[in-house]
Amino acid sequence: MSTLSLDSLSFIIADFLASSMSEYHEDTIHHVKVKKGITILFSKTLKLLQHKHLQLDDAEFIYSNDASNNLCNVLEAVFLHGLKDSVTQKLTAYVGLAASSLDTTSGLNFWNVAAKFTHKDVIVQLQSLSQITTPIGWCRAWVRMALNDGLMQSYLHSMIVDVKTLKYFYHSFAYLRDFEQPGILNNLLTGLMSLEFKLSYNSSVLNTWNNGTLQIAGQIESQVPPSPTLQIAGQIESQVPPSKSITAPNSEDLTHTNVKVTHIVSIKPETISPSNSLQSDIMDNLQCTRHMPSHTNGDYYLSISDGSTCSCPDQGETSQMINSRKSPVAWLDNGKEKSNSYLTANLSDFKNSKLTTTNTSVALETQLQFSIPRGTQIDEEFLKHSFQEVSTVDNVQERSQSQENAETSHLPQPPLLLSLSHCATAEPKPRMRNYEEICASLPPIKLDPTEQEDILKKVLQEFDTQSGREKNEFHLTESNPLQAWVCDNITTKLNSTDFKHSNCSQFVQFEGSQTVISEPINVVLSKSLEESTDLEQGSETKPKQVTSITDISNINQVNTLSDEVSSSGHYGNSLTGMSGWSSDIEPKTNLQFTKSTNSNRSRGESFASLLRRYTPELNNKAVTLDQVIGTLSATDEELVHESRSQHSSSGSQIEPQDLCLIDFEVLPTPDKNISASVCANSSRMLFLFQIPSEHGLSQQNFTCRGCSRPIGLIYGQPYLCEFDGGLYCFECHENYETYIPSSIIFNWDFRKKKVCKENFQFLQDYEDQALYDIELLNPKLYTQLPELMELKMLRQQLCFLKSYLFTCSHKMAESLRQKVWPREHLYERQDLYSITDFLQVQSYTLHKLVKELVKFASSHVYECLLCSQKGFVCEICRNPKVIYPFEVDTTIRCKGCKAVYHKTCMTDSLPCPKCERWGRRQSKSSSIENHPEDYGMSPT
Amino acid sequence: MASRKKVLLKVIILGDSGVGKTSLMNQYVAKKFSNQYKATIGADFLTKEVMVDDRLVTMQIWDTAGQERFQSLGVAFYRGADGCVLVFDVTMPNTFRSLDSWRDEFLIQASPRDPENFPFVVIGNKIDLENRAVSARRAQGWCHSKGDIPYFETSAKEAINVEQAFQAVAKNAMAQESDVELCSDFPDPIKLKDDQAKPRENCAC
Repeated sequence: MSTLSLDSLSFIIADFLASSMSEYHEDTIHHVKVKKGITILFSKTLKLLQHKHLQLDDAEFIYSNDASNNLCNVLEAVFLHGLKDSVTQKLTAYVGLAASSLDTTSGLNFWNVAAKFTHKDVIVQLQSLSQITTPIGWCRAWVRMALNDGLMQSYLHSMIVDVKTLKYFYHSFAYLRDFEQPGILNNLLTGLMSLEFKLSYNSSVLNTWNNGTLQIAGQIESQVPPSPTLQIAGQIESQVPPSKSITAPNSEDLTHTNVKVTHIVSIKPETISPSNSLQSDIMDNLQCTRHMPSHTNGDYYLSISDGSTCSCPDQGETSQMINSRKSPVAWLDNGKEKSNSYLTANLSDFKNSKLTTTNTSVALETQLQFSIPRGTQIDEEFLKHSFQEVSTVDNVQERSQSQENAETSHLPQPPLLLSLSHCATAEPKPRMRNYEEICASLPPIKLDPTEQEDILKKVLQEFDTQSGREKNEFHLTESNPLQAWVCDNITTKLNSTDFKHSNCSQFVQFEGSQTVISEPINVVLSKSLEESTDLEQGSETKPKQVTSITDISNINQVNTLSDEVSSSGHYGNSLTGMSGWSSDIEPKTNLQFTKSTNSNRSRGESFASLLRRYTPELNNKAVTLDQVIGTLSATDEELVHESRSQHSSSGSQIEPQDLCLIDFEVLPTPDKNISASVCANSSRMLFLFQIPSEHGLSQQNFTCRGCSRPIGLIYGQPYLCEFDGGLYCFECHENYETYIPSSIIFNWDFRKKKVCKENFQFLQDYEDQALYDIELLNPKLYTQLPELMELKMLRQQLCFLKSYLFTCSHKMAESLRQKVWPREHLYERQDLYSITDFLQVQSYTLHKLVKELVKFASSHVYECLLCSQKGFVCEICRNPKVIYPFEVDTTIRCKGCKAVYHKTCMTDSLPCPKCERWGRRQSKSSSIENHPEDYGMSPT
Repeated sequence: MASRKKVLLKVIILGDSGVGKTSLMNQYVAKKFSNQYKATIGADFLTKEVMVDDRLVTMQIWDTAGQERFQSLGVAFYRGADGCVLVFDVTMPNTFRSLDSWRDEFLIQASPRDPENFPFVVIGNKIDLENRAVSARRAQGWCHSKGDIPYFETSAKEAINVEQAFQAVAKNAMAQESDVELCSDFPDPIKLKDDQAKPRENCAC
């Protein structure tokens, strides 16, 4: 073994010297990191697997599950790391014959390596697998097969020994050519001997790499923790439900888009170019277009990154997840704005980089496909334009590209037009239906006989007064059930967690006759308030459709509902639109809402409200669709211009594409989703904050909790939903897996668990909702998890900084808001998290984001003439150097008076001088009774 | 006497929320008044060039938020202030009573060289309103007790006395300023008097 490593060491050195030093030098550190990461990850997953398995019977086999899939991922990463492009790949890529042989089109894979060490019978067996069609698939199947046969260790051993072959296939920095890591891995693999695998490998999912593997292998930037969760192949197929959750009126175009989306992704394996970097580009691209779609400017996609990567680690799966999770249309629609600019960036990247033309074209095609569903003229022209720029060399390619191009310009239109007509007919209805559903499914009202009841009563009053003012009859009828629903939500909410009464005010604040949600905790509540405030605004119920229609770049109706409400308060101070800080000033007008259910909505909300700020007059505009269309041209122009989108649709004429887009705005789909979740929300919300207890079948009367059909005994096996602890029939529970909020909060357990269909949807919808206040729910997390503590400090800084930027110029406030958006809770409350945030805590992605924000904001504060003046002077040492509360390392802030002192000056024993002064004054003039909070820094 | 160089006077306006600080400033600087109340966020400043004793002076007037909720922002800008305007609302006794604390707080945070003689000006605003609750005598009395602070009764709405009040601040501040200038114009002034050295010690801590 020692000679071996010496051997390999000498090879490495030789290689190292031969290759251009500088190039490698830069990457060396990175590679070492990746390699170490792989080993560590492998030992972790292995331990997990062993631990899990040792509890079971010895005879038990290990099937495809999270842990084993994860193990496979790591192993795949081992073989992928540092893989050279094969000569044939390079050649064919260069000549442009990428499509000629299967072997070369598949991109990065180690099949050649594996095949070299594998018995030819096994190779034949692998290649004859019906579901496996790509070399990537063979690779992945090979890994699983090797594990099943217990041959992994011997494979690895023979590979390490065969230095020559390794040198042929791998770069010097490759994991397998490292002189230390493979040995460790080999030892670790010995541990596998005790385990017997029965992994399934004949599955089409294996035909592409999943994100996890590529991340582990350092092929793509890790946005997500190398997720411990992979779906079993079989399940993924079952996840395809072609948009069952999507509503009827739009089903046609939705399925259309569905098809397209899946089409895109299925194309992917073939279009992936052989070059690693390019592949990662594409991957990034995939992710970007998928997740950060609706941003206006391109620079902070990391910030939104991203719930769905986490939840769907597998590439093939993601597209399907998109379908099932959100309405694809909304997503695509969303995507339009961002991806335009994103495409620009990307294309220019491609232009700059010296990639071979084939690669470029491949990449472009991939991108092009993503642009398809967006379907705006501008996009295509824009693409065309960039195509011409890029494809300077190869005529043949150019032709193919223009073909591609032509395709794209034709493809999207039929379904879009179709949906347009739908829009025209179905548009005014969906909200109503939604309400009806709510009414129909209302759970009984239960009020708590505590102080909380007061609050509930207040809510009731609120809605009474609102309904009193209501003019629109159709809304009038619905306001009562809504009340009930809201109340119920509050009750469950308050019951479900042991919030103290004082905390209630964090959910709801009542001031005057206006309802103000100051903290984004209770989404359901706020949502209902959105809707009800909307009732209150009688005459404004319709304009929201106007805005939704004119709001070209974004979204669905629901968003616009919420912005309608929030933006309606835009008078007086220009900063009142900001949350928290300045919301106090004119609480009446500032209805600060939580972000809405799914990411689409929340993005839309902020974006649309942004737009609204530019065009406030929209609020009072036309009512009917006709009028809307009439006003469309003008508003179009304005909006388009203002939103800095790249669309240049001219004002006078209504483009069919625009209308198509319009129809996306008013899709009732999200409403439907909400209403669906609303029905069961009251009970479901509880389980967000509470680990469920399983009661067994008898408690459920041997019926499915979802559809009440009999289960158990002869009626078929019951399925446990890990989210609510209930048992479900096979139709209500299709083994979807997702993160369970309560286990994350209380156990920091990020395993995906099986949940029933309804709850799956619910959890998906609420994934991006900042609902979880760690300080309230489980403050121990902070003490247990240093990374969380670190994040807390960062977010604290951000919260402090927010107050500076939000009291500075409007521009600054806006830029901070835009950077954070759609996750304003990051600076609203330092303890508030969404599931997506939690996932990003692990990978330090959130740290990075918040760090950047803090850097941005603090550098502004130090430089700004105004902000820098708003610091503090330590009253204890009187050092003239100004200190700031966000300098958390060196300063401490008095909780009472908020004065800031040096940490070194202020000790626990020392009373805060300012507080003392206040106290003295207070006692001196005790006769004066006024509200201390109403009077300035020096209450009498 | 010394230099005719440009002088910048930093003036801070303090007082409870709603007494009319921003209105006063706007009236003085822009000659505008709005009936609509808009709470000031944090702090902001405007500048105005005025003639004081035949010298062109740039006044940097800092308008502050009277509301407690803005105390999470510091008041480092108090430092280096040349003058301070304390404002109360003649119809709201509370706002008058809190002048004491505003003054104290200012002196603590700004820690001027000579706290006893720092150029304050007190403004009783809103004299255009009928429901007056703080008499001029009472205000005068308080001002007298604090070292003869000049007192003005103004109406930002009617533009009564606003100019005069600010002019007084500027003048007083200039008076202090020129004291300082005497020293600062020379590289290393030799301190001849005791009482000039003492306050220096106070601030150098």
